[in-house]
Amino acid sequence: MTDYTDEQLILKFQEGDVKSYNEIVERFKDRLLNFVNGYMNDYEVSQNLVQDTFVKVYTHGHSYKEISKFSTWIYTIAGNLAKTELRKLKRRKTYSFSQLSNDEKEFSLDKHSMAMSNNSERTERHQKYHDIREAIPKLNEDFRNIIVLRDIQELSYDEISNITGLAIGTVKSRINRARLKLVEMIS
Amino acid sequence: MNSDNFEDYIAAYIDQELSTSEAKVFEDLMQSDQHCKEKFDQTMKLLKNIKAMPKLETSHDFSLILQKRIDSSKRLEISFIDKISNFMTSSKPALNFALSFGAVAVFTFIYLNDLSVFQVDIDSAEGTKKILTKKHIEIDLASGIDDEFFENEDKEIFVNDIEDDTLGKIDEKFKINFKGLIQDVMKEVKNARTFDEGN
Repeated sequence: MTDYTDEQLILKFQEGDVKSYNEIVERFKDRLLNFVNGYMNDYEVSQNLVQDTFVKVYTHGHSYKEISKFSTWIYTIAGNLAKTELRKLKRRKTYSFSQLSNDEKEFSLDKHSMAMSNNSERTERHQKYHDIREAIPKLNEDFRNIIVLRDIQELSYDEISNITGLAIGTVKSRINRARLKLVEMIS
Repeated sequence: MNSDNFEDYIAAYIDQELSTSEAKVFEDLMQSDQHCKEKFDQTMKLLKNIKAMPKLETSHDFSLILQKRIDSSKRLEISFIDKISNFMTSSKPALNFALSFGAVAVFTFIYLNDLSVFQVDIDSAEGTKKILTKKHIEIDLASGIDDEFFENEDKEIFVNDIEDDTLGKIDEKFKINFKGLIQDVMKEVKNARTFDEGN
């Protein structure tokens, strides 16, 4: 089973081979978790979204066509789910914060600053990782998507171009600007 | 390439996509311009940190939870029609027989009680009120009542009055006729008794 390519596995699954589906899950679960966490920066939420992605692969597996790489297809599904979840979260956060009284808002902000000071007590290295994880979701969506795919997932420009639907030249220029923006945010 | 657009070439330099001459210009700029050197170093440090970031792993029960979610999504997908279809196709022969028997019993009941539940009521569908004419009554009477009955006085009044009657009034006349019919039957019974006693 491990000798099969991703595309062969999904084709076998389309023919009803459930073992192929399990192999796909094994191959992609951690990669997708890191990819989605680049958007969400929340382990539990990211894991749920990865599960949603695999449920979609199971229920809509027949809609995959061999014209694209399987990884492109599955990353697109996961990315879309993450974007939808982010939009939902933004709406909820805006609503919940606006519902708080002034005292509650101050308390909430105090808790936030306390959390920040706790972070500063961590080791320098872990602080850097933490800062990067915090900063990536704050990037503009065009930049965030590309930096996660390129620098965290280490996909080729070709694959990123297929997933995002952007020309390779655009992907390259955006990755450059995204890195510079991230450097600016962290420093 | 110059110090103003130096940043645009950082990714290309890292990916080794610059030509030899372009790469030489890039390296010269880094040596001569501190700002360019700083930008490049910061980018390289960022990439190093991203690469060194511990990779997240899914929890141990990930596959188990996923299996449960797939099972529940499968259950949700079964629509109401599918449920009916499954019930019909997977039901036991005894149940099929009972349902068939019930259907036959219902049809037999309807047939024996002369309930015209399956007849199309054209008149009511057209929204018109059915008014029986003299001709209708004559046909009805001709099918079930003795000719002698027509010779009665009641019958003559009934037939003459029917022309402009509504259905309700006709029913009333029928009631009178039934009363007369019962009286006739009672007379016949009396006559029979008298005949028996005579014998």
